[in-house]
Amino acid sequence: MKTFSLDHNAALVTGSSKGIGQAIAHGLHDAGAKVVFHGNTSKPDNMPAGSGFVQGNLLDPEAPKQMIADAFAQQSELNLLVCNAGSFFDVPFLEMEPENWDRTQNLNVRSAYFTVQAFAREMVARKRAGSVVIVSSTNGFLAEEDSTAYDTSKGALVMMTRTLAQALAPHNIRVNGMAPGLIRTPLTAPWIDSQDDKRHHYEKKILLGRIGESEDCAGATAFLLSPAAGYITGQVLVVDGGLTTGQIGKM
Amino acid sequence: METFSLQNHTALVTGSSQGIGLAIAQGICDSGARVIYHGKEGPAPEMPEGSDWLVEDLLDPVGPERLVKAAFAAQPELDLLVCNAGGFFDVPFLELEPEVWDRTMNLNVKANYFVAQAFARELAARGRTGSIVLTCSTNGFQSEDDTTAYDTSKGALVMMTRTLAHSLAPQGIRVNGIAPGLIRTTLNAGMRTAEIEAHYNKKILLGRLGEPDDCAGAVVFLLSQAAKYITGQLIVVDGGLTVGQIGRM
Repeated sequence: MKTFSLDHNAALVTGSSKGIGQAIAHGLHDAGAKVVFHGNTSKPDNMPAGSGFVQGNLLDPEAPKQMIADAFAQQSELNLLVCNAGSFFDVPFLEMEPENWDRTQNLNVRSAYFTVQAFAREMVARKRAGSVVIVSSTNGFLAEEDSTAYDTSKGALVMMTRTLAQALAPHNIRVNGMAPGLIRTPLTAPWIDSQDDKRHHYEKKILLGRIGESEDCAGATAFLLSPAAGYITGQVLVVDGGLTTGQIGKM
Repeated sequence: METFSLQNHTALVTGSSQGIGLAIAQGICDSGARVIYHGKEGPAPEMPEGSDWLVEDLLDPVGPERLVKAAFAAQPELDLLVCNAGGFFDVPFLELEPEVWDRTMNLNVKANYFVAQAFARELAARGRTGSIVLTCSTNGFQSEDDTTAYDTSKGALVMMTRTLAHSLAPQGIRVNGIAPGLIRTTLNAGMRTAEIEAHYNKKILLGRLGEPDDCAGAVVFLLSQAAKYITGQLIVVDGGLTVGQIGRM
């Protein structure tokens, strides 16, 4: 069996100043990789020693290319990428304005696409093999209330995983996805914690009976990036405690 | 992040005398677990020191329960199970006799169901949590020539992964699957002519057939604490065989 270790690898994790991205970045560091963190604004305060940080607002059309250039400048051995940056801007469908739609698609889908493209161009120029993980969501295949733009964007990322796996296989770059279910993050905590009834409702649908923690997503990402997953490409690994496995939850 | 290590765990891997099962068993050993190997008949394969070897015919209706009892007798700390045993007996659809159908479904589906049941009953009796991986196949969701019974059996295993995850979650037992694509084993040696391999290589995004060892990492990951919030899922290990609609010309 090939190793799970990421020793001698270097990874950029977009959107890693908090939440799932931050937990993934720490997991990759634990697995032996050098990590370049990325955030929209400020640096996270507990980065492991030797980590890099690049700042960029991925809604800026030039940002993906600039972020990748900055990341390679800080860590020229870069060979792993986790496209994790994304957010939620939904309102009920009938009230959705084009600018919210655009913001969702541009951040969650377009910026991921051009981040992978810029990364892959650098890798091809260096004739270097690599691996990419795209963070989608269980909302990429099952819908939720009042999340039409978000759901659509995550569905796009699920398919993007497959089509970029095909596009980049000739360059020895594997592309896989990780689809978290309901995870407690700064994005979701206010929603989860302000509605006890909704939290219980989810806990009854989740086979393992609890809402996930950001750290639950790190293992799957580290595995997919590692040599142990060397024959896996185009797959989406769901980390949801069984939220989307059964048809209906407990009463 | 929790560890990928399987230290202080013990696993039973059914159908581990050769091929994918043998490579999975070796990968689990390499990750620190003790392994009980199983085959339909002897002799035992080469195994790391401290491993056990059990012979059982899973087509015998009492085979599954007898195997699991023997496994717990050999290693009372058993807490991991890989249901990997299976076979391929197909002929073209119009010629397939009920006995071939029954042998395929009994070995590939029924035996795995009752091995998992016997294992889960033992864990429940001991108040122990655990983890199970079912070896399915990409033939569980995409068909091939002259493989109707095999394809149907593997489709059943894909859904069995989800429904057993559902039943065993209250007991703290996670159930997941792996779905290998075309892997170089003795099971498919007969169909792998040079021409067919070249044809598959053009459809497989990574451009090569898999080796049994390619499947070990996904199984070890799913059994490990690094996957502790994952249940009911299937990891496809096929080099991208089933990702694109059509291969290169």
